[in-house]
Amino acid sequence: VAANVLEILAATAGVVDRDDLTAISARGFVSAEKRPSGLLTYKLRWRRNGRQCVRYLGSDPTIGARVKAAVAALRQPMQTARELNTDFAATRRALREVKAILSPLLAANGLAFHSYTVRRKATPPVD
Amino acid sequence: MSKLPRYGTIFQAVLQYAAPMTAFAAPWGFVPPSVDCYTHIADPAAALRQLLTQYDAASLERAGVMTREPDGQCRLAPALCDPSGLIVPLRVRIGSDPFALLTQVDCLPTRQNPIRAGALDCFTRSLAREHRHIVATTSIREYALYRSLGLPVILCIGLRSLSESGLRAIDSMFQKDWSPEEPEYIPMATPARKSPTTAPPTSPLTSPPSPAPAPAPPPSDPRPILLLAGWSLLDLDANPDPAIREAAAYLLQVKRHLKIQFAGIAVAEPGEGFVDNLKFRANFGSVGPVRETLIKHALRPQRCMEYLCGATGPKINDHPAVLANLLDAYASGSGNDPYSPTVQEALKQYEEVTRTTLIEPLLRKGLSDDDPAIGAAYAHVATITTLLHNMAPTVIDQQRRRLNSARLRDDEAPISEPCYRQFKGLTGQATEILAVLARLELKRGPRRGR
Repeated sequence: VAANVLEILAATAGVVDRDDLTAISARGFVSAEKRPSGLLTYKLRWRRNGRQCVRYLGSDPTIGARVKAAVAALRQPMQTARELNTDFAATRRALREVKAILSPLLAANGLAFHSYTVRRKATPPVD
Repeated sequence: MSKLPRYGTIFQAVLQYAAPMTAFAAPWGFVPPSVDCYTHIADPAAALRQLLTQYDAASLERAGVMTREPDGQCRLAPALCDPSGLIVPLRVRIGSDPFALLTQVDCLPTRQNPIRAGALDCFTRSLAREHRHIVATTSIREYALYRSLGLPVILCIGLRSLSESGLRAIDSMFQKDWSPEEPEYIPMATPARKSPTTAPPTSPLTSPPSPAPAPAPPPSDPRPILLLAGWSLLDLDANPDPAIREAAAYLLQVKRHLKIQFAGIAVAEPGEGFVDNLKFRANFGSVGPVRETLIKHALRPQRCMEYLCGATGPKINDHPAVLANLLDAYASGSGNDPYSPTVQEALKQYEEVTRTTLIEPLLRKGLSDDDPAIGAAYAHVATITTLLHNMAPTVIDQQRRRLNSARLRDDEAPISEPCYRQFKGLTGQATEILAVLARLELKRGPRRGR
């Protein structure tokens, strides 16, 4: 995580604790809530050990946007990991399917998959 | 800055021998030229004789106004006598002596770079403060047209003569990390729209909208974005000038080899239909509607510099080259932001080349095979290839970061080495499948597709 992201969260939301940062990177977000006066206020929200945590950020949209960008940057690695895991799963699934399609064709040629490597089928000894 | 108007009196004297520009060529005949646009010096010999009576030859030479032939003969700088060119004086303050003279080929004094000098001009500076964007063009006539329309413009020539520090200085002049969706747009008050009888902002009898005489901008001023014109205003052509493409290609080379990011330079490509719209508006012969649409559509960054080169020169079809380009974008300063325009543009190019050079041939091969099982296998292989190539830049970049970083933090762990190992494993399996397909085809012998 870039140092400036941590600096922003420390300066604007007072978040410096490592566990809090880990929790924010998992499920943190900035909410914009409307007050009865009509003023929009921003809050940084996350859950730590099942408990809600909130930091009031004020009504300045610039600060709201900065913290939102910082949270997005903090969440980026986790999000990328999730996306990659989804793609890995899809690739594995497609590989399994293509293997299933090719297996009969290989068998007809006296070959078989050993994992994904092709080997000659063992022929039983002729008595 | 105090040294800028050093040759001011010489330049002012030179302008006395150049006639003010009277009109633009069609279809821009209705735009009154800015009072600061001059045509060439028609009688260079007489002008030089007069100048030599007022100033010594060495001063004229230093100012770049006079050149000396190998045989020792003096002559006026060719840029000032070019009938196809123009002369535009640049001033620090309204009414002050010019600190530089802009011509089609050069900026006088010759030590001045046209981009840096243009940014110091009071007219450009005040308009750039207002619009936060400056158009870069390579033609002095187009420069004069933008200027006469009251739009911030810079003459983008002489890039190749800049040293590395000069290029870095240019990089630092412009705003970092522009965004195509940037909502920053301050509409100008255009008195011409209030009443049809009032004169447009640049009426024939008046100078273009005069910027308020202001001293140097305060340090807190936001830096403008330089917009390379991805189209031609002068010719009303949707295609950009080849010279601007060359400039973009050179800046990209600098970016790649010297790692100067030029994050504040973008391309204005107003889109389909814009030029037709402008032609239609120009038919009214009034500056107001033209200026209005230019501010709305042409003074906004829409593309990265790569766009100009991708649309022009040799289109990159080399998969490793586009992957290298994407990894460069990730590794650059904007790498922390995967949504930065540079990364997005490189990603788009990478996906396009992956699709055309790798995926589509696989699909075509599968569709043309008369064995449905082989056809289905190729379709699956195409899916696998797509997924793997979509993941490749991210995985490689993560691995690079891991290798670069001495200390690995906890929050980077999920996408570190195990991820790379998985990716390698899957790539290996996909390669095996391709080998199987090749082997089956070999056994089957050559067949005709359907």
